[in-house]
Amino acid sequence: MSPHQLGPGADPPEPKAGELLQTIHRWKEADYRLVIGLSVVFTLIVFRLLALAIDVRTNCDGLSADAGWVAAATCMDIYSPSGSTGRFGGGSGGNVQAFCADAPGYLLGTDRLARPLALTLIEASEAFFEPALLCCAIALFLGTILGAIAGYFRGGLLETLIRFFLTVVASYPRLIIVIVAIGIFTAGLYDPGRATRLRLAMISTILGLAYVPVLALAIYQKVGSFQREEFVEAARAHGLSHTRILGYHILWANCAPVVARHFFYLFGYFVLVETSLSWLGYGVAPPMPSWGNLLRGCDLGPLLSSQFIAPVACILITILGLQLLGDAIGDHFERGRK
Amino acid sequence: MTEDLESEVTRRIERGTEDSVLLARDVWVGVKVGSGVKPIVRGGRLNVPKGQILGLVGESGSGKTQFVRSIMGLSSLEPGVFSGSALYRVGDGPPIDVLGDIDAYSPYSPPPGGDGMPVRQRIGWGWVLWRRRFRERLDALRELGVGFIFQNPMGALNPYLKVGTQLMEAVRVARPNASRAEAEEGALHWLAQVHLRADRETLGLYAHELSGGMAQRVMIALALAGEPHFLVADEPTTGLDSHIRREVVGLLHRIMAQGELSGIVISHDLPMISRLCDRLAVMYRGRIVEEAPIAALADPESPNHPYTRELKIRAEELSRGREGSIRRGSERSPDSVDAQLSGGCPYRSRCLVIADRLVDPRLCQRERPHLEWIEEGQRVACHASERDLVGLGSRRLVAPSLEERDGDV
Amino acid sequence: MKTLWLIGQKVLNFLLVCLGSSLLLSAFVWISPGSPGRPRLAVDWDRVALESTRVCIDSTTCGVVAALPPAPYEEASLLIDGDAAPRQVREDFVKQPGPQFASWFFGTLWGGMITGALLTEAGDPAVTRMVEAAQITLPLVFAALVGGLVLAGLVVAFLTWLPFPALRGVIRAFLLVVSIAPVFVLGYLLQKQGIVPHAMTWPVLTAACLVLAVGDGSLGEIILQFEHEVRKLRSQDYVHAARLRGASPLRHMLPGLLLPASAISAGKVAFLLGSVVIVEQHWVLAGLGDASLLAARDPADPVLLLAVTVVVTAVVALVALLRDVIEIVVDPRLRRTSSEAR
Repeated sequence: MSPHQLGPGADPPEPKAGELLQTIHRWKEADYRLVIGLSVVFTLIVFRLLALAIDVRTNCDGLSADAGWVAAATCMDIYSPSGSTGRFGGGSGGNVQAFCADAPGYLLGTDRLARPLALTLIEASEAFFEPALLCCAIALFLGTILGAIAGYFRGGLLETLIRFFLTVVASYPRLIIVIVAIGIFTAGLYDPGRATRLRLAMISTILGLAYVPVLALAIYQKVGSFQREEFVEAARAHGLSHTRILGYHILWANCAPVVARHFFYLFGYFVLVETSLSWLGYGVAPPMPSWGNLLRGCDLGPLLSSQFIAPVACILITILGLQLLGDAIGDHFERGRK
Repeated sequence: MTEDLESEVTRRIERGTEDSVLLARDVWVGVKVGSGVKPIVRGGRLNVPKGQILGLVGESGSGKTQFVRSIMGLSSLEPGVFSGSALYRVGDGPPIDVLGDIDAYSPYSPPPGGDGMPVRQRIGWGWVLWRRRFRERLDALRELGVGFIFQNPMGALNPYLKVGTQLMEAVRVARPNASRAEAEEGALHWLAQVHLRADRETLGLYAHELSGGMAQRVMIALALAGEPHFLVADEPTTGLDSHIRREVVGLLHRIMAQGELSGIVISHDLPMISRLCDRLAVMYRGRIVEEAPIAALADPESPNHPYTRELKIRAEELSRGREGSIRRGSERSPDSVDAQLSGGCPYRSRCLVIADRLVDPRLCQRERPHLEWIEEGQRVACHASERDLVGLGSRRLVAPSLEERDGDV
Repeated sequence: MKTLWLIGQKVLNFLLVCLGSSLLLSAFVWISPGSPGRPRLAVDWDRVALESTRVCIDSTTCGVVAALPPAPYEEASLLIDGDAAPRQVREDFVKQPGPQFASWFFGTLWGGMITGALLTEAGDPAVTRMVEAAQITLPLVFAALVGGLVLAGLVVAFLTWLPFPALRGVIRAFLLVVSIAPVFVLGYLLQKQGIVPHAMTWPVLTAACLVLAVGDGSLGEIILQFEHEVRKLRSQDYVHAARLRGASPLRHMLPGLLLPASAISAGKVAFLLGSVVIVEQHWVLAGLGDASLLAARDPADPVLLLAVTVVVTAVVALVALLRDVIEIVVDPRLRRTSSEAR
């Protein structure tokens, strides 16, 4: 389809400027979204695997960094479930940084708790990787089933009930319902580690459930549009069961782009929510790192410091990459079908 | 009788002495394909003499709709038209070139006469200026009074507004100072002209409440209400039932037979074209391959272009009810990309002239034929001689079918 | 009239959704093991079965009824899990699931909300608290919604006009990246420009509104949806036909733009009400989001949580109702009756 063809009787090749443009056009044809998205996902997986080996609290010559971040902690507005900062108050300023300045993890400097920033960023991927997968799994599973059933068995009580239920769930703002759930289930826990794990589980479950209406509606519309076409009637006439038609022909063969798009979008949205909640103090509590709680501090410091830019860059690149990947995969699925 | 006559005619047109309402020359229109642009109208030309109706014929995909819409400002502008001129005669003044100076405003212009030429998208502030001038010229064109009947009536009627509202708006195009009562009266008048029930109830209908035939007639009324001197009908009967089609064609005939109206009818339905039009232009893959008076359609001994001949054969077989051969014929030879891009005649892969060995195939492969005058008022783009083209017709007179032709090639 | 009937249906739908959402959440709160509930109702001791009815008195203290009190039933004796000695508990701290849920839901929760009898942990009526908080949050959210739509409209109009396709792509990408930033990051950036959230002044409110309209991916989504709708609309033949007639194409495009705008709004309101939680925290505004955060802190205040959620879901459902009404009014195809010609 390139307009640039040479053959007998055609015109002489165009001037140099045009050739350069043609080259750029050819590069542009590669889907840059796919490239960016896949590299982001690859990096996240690498981070997660590295995080298994990293524990920033004890990385520095076996010296616990507790002393260092205890001092900084009095400055930070750390939310403690017990309502008091008794465990972390006071303490002298440590000079952990002076000891550890040569270690490789200090490439980007330290964060506010005197931990090596680079390693902390990597370990923070623990905070969202599996919970996001859980969240997506819940949303995809329930959303697909509900949407498919509602779209396929139209016109009955089942469809009306499912749609009403989905509308009700969709009317809760997702972040507020997550906070409500956190408030109900995790208040009264004293151990920050356990509290964090429970909160993350809560966030992923509730966010997954809250996202179900979005996915279900998309699948409902898609399945509904197929229902109108004749091939469903033809397949029934051939004796295929509802399950086979719905499961294979409609969902597997045709709804894959929708599901793929929503999967990656939800993963990115989970990162956003987890980061925001950790920043608020209702998510991952220190000393467990998260890109969100790395950004929380009473004294922000200069804007161009790596303490601010590095976590922000991580968040932006991750969410952007995931959204681009979702779009690209969705488009490729659709194009492959045409 | 070749280039001299053509340039003479062109000079006469430019001087305003030739009696043409529309003269379009060397129009190239492209669409965006992937990251590039593909031309779908290549060097298109049209000449609509005053008071006459031109029939633009070609199969679907030949670019006829895009061509006419582009020079009337009805299609998307990017990339859209990237070369050419379209002169309209408005009143007594000099003709307006709607696409004027388009090459001057675009930083990249194609080399003239090339095939498979690299086409680039418009960029630059020059394009903004050209766009504004284009719109201004289209506004000036409205003095001519232009009406367009769209192919899909449901798409051309605003689904959110009542039919009456849209009709009254169209009436106000011709009579800007009409009061509400006058506009309503005009709307009812035009409804009656298209044989619809002319009452308030019809005015209060919405587009989705109309049947296909009713919607088409409302659209014709909308086009006529502006009291145009130049009317374009784009596939006016596609998708209609046969009895509605007859009515619509009869209606159009009545309208177009009135003296002052010039226009274009775009269609692939030859019987309708021969009923409604005075002149004929045949388009194949973005190029005009024949211009002729309408009598050339009915005349079996007319030296038509082989593609026109193929269309006539198909129409004949369709009217005799032999649809099978037509479908097979069209499936048999999809045009290869080579034919488009390597500079020869684009029609050569299905050409009867080559099949009958009237012309050296290597000539057709090497050189693209240009439009040449054959008879008075008739131009054909083919390497075969006039005698051979006439002979082609007479040999095919006795109900040939494309099945017989299969044996040869 | 057909229109009124359709609108009435949508209003009924709105009421049902409000009811359904508060019911769902209240049931959730009621049955969750860590939730106090605190209905403060009279316990029906006749229905209590010894050693099988499980009751909870606070978030971590549950047990079975060990001994019934003598009439007039002021105190019961509960065997707390893991603790052998039964404990005396007062009647109003005992929760009975099941039939009392209905009276709690309609009477205490809704009745109390409306009459002001329902109190939060802090002691003030939930309804006044909600009204005060809503006065801050709702204008903020709606201003952000309208501002976001206007901003996106301007951006899309500009991008459509721009004759440089490459530049168009760059601007669009830049805006998407900025929009993806979480709201607190944008807040920090503005803070560095000197807009410090120390008081509720106009610059602070404007900044909060801007951040809300742009951040968390909100603006990016609206721009993408708008571009898609405008592209679809410009290719419609009736717009071309109007231009040919000399009529203003804008007048013909307006209904076609109003419908997606209202649909986008209905979707965005829920999203913005979520993001506003963070914005309020950052810019120190005492709105609904801040109230929900306070309620979720330990010890949790379920009444406040429920009240906030009820208000918020009512707002979302109301905007959805508005969208439905606009659709019915603008699009005649929805008013089609069976008796009309096809």
